[in-house]
Amino acid sequence: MGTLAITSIVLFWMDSWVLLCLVLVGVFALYASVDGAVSKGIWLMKPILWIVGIIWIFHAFRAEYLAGSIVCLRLLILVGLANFMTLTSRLSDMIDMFLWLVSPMERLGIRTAAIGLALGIVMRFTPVLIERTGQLTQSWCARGGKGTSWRLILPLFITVVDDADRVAEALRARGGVK
Amino acid sequence: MERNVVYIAVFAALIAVLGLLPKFTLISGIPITAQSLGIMLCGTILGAKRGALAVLLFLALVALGLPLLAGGRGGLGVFTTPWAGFLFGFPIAAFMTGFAMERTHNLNTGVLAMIASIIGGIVALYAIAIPYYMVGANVPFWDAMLTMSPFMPGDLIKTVLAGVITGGLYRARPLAVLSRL
Repeated sequence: MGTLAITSIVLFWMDSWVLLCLVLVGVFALYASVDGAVSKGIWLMKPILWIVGIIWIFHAFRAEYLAGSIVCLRLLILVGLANFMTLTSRLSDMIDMFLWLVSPMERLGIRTAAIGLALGIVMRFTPVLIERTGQLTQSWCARGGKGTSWRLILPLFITVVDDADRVAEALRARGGVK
Repeated sequence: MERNVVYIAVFAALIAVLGLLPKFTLISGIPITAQSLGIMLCGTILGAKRGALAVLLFLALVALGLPLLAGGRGGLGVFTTPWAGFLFGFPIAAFMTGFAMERTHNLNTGVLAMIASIIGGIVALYAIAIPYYMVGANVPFWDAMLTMSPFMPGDLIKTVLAGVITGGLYRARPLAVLSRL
């Protein structure tokens, strides 16, 4: 992560396209050194390629071909490196690192234990909510509706808010958040 | 305290779920993903501080690599694109929306939620996203505006939905709309 931050600062100072190309080749070599990383990396890059294309076209309109290419190369390298970090680290390691990063906040009087708990609740709740949305969609379709409609958001929120109240009560019954 | 933590966590999950829903197609075929609707709702329902915290929690999980952004993306990479101004603007948008909700008392909840969503979810969000894109992509103001203009009609519709949903929730579960307590 530190490397990522330093690289991004260095990259903004670097304005020779030859150097940038070399760095991009280096990033690609990193990907190639890990099994199966290349195909996943390319999948993650797809939406960014679009954006990079659009940016380049905007520059081309003003005949700033070189400046445009440099901006685009910079973006490709940054995004590539950051995705590589994500692809090669386990989720539990990332969470531990995140909690370590926020631990100094404890001294400012912010309770970081609650953050760990909240992370857990989000991860537990997300699949439940996806399933709930599916159930609501089915009931909606059974009554003549078509597909997922914005009308389902309100019932989803109502059930979720009720669940949240129950979870909060259960937490308090078990000693609560310190 | 427990209630606040759980509400923040659950709303972070709701932002994620709204982003994973299939795109709604509204009148005239404007496709919108509901993720930024989730941001607005965090502000209108939870209020400024809790709303912003819920969004920050969501972004933390995205940064950790969970594929929760609309389109199933995640990871540190999404924070390095020129569009990341939207991501950095999300917590501020939720905060401004919640702030507007909490400071006004004599308006119908639904109407107020819509106005607050415009202030936070559109004005504040684009005030961050556009300059960020201008620097990140090295383009002048009008080019940035032009690139982003396709999203704006959808965003306006979302503010109306945010108003309808917040108003409805306030009628069904008045105690759950923390910004109105």
